Amino acid sequence: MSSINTLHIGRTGLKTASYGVEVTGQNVANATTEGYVRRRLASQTRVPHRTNTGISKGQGVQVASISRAIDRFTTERAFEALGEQSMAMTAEQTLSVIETNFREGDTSSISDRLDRFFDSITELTSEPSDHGLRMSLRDAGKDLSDAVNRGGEALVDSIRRAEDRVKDEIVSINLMLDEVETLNRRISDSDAVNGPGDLMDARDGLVEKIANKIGVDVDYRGNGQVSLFVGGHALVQDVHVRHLSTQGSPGSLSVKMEAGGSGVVTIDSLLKGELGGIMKARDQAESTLNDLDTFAQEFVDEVNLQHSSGFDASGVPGLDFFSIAAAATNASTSMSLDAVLADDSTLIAAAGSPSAEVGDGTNLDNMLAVEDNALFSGGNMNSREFVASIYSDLGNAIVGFEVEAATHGSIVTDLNSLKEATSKVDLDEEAVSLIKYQAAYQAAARIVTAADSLLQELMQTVR
Amino acid sequence: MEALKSSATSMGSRVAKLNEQVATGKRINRPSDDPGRISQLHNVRQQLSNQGVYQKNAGQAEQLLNVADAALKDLHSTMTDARELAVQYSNEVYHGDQRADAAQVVDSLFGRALSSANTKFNERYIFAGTAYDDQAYDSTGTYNGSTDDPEAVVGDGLAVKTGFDGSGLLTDSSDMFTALDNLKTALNTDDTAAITAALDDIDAALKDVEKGMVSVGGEMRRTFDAQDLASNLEVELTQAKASIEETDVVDAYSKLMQLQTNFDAALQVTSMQRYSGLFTRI
Repeated sequence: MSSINTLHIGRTGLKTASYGVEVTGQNVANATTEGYVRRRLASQTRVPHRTNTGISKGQGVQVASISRAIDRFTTERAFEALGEQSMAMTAEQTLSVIETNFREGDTSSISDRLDRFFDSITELTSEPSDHGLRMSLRDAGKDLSDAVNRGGEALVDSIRRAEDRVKDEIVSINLMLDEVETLNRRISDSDAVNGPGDLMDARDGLVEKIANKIGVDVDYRGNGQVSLFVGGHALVQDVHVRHLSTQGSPGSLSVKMEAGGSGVVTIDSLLKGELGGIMKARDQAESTLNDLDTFAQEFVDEVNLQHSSGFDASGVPGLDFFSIAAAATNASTSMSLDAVLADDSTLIAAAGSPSAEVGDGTNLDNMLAVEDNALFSGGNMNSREFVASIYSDLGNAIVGFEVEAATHGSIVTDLNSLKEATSKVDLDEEAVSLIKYQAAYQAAARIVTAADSLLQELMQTVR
Repeated sequence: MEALKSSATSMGSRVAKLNEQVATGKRINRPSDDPGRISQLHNVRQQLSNQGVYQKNAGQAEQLLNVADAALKDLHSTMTDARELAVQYSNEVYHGDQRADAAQVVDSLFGRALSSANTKFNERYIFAGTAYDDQAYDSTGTYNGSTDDPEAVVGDGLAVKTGFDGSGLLTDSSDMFTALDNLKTALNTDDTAAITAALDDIDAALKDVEKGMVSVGGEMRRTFDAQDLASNLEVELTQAKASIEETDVVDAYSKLMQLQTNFDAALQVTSMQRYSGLFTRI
């Protein structure tokens, strides 16, 4: 009977309006929840009933879906830009810490100690036999060695710390990848009404963290799942995950990703995000360390060559002035004064011949000439210039990352603003929705009341 | 709020940098502050450091050369006295006793000349060459030093002598000690012909001493020039270094204040963004 059908129609209206109020309430309650994407209720007409006489009788309304208001394209781009920004910021921050060991104008810096070393030789020319001046030169040599050691050790330590951090982060990233895969699976099992929305919010929160950590290309699939790629290699694809691992000795740690079978593929150059930034900082630190080692080795070799061509206060050919252990991994951390010369400054070979008198400083002139010898960069740079290039290369790398971070930061801010325009809860909009669903509920209630009144009338008539 | 968060991060690092500039007075405190000027800065610092040492060496050389100059003047005076005696007692009017007395005077002049030739400065025998740890001349006037002149570096590619080979400077073409000894013998033996021969030797010795004085004078001149050059370069390089690495503190401070004001304004605007939308009206 049509009154009963009207009651039914009213009931569907009440139910749908009630859902609408609930969804609005959910949005308002989560207006400040990090990562929450506002929900939209979509309603549709129920399938009409066709009578014997061919008339279509409406059956009311039903909830078609409760969906998330998300701009997929902008969200994908925002995640990708986040990876770029995070990489540049992390690299800049990591290298800025390393840079504190290479401050300018510091009297304990390598460049200052190098100047002091050659100044001590110059001073000694005024009185080659003077014990105090010989000790000054010896001390200047030790100070220079110490400064080079400190620089080298700081770089070795920063490389080790960077690699330790990468290993630690890989563990948590793999856990997050597994969680994304689990959520992908649960989302595919959900239906449109019963809400994969919360699962998708949680999953997108993890994707954002992963993008921040390693930088990923994000692809939202039509079935609600998400795929993550690193440089074209699928990291998560639907319900398949490829885990990350690390391989290699200290100083040459590499990040790998599972490939087909039991193989792995190296993804060092494909990484972005914090890990990409750490790896880039590690690579720059390695480069700086290599240059410092080159400086130490070439400088020591040349000074020793000149020193040993002279003669000490006893007329004996000069020993090595500096030493670097033969099996040293890094020349810069191993450079030191020759142990015997360190204890006896009379062994400084100032004279030019074995029979020279006490005032002969001929070999000091040879050692002074080392300052301007073009030992480095294919014969294009002397010691001071090469040390300056080590400093400026490090500085240039930091400035480069600083500019990149600022550029990508602006892009991320813009994309996030666009994302929020679609996804973020607008309280005014929810207020309008609340009014709308309230009115719809009240109207549906009136329909139920009217249908009830008709039924009552009918009952009265039939009695 | 997102814009505030983003600008707070970038402002934070800019504030830290400006603070450092104001505190140190330097624009370049680390390589990344201006990587392109690092090489130039290191170059200027090295040259500036050199000038300090050059001035120090030149100052010590100047003191030594002053002492050498005084010793040569004394030597010249001694030899001049000897010459006058030779001229006087070559005259036939004097007899043997008088010449014998004059011989004693020559003996003391020999001692004076030896003392001058063995002048020390800071425990160094100035006229012993590089063998300056021992006397240049022994008691008989024989040279014991080396034939090399010690030098000190007082500039880029510039060195001055900080000692002299006595055999070249004082007794190059003559031997003053032999000349004095011969004069003393001639006076003791009352031999006027020998006195005249000794006079010729003393004249040659005086010429050597005069040449020596010119040499020492020349080294002193080079030392003064080196000191002037190092001093002037020090001023120029100090200015160059300042122009590269130093900051305008007033400018940095005013930028810092501006940044702080901007940040405070952003905070103020954000705090005023309270919700006053539709929900407060239904």
